[in-house]
Amino acid sequence: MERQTMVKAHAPAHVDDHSVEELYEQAFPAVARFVRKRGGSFDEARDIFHDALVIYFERNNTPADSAPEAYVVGIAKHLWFRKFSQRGRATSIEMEKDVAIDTAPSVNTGYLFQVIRLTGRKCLELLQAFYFGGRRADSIARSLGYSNAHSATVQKYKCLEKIRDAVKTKSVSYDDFLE
Amino acid sequence: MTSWNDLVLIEKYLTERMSPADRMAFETRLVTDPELRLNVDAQGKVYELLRIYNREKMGRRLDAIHARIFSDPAKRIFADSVRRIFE
Repeated sequence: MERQTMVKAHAPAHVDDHSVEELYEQAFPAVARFVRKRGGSFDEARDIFHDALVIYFERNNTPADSAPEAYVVGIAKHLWFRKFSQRGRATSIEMEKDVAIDTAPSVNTGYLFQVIRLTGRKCLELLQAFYFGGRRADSIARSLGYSNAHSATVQKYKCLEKIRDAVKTKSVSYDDFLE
Repeated sequence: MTSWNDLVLIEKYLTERMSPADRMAFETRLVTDPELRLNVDAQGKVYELLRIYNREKMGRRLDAIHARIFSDPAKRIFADSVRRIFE
């Protein structure tokens, strides 16, 4: 039986606020100008920019690419085109097909948190570390206090199974998460 | 052990990291194994759930960062320069 070691400290989010702020200040003006030119408001610029950052950080651990701001601005433009082009087809920027946050409906957070709470905080942190941010198992093990990559991976699957069982017994459908 | 193996297999299947041969074997099992089908479906929902949760969380963080940047006196020059874009 694998034993999980104690999580010593509260695990840090995978990107620190300082890096996010830096990227924010580098990229937001360009997105704002782009949105303004197309008749959008400050709030629209902020919303589309935040969506772009969410997508960016979903795939990247740290803003360590050669030009993260260019990448984020690119995603934001893509989202803008998708939002306003007919049936979302006429995109001028080729992006990966899974950039689809613009279709993300509003989420019933109350229900979501209910299911999430069943999982427990440690499990959730572990799963997020594995699935978002592109970190390797050994680095996750180190930062979350597991003895090695194998034990973190074993625990990951246990956590996954725990939520999966909850999803199965509650017959949770995707629609249940949406308002 | 079966459940552990299936968790790993299903993850590979859903994230398209299976060899063509393994995929074929897996899909053959899917046809005959209703329990496995149920698990594939449920596990797919878990990934979606985690993604939604992650996006929500990051969204709230960004709102806080936005509020901080646009109210911090030290960031005034930056904030004003962005506001001017919309004047």
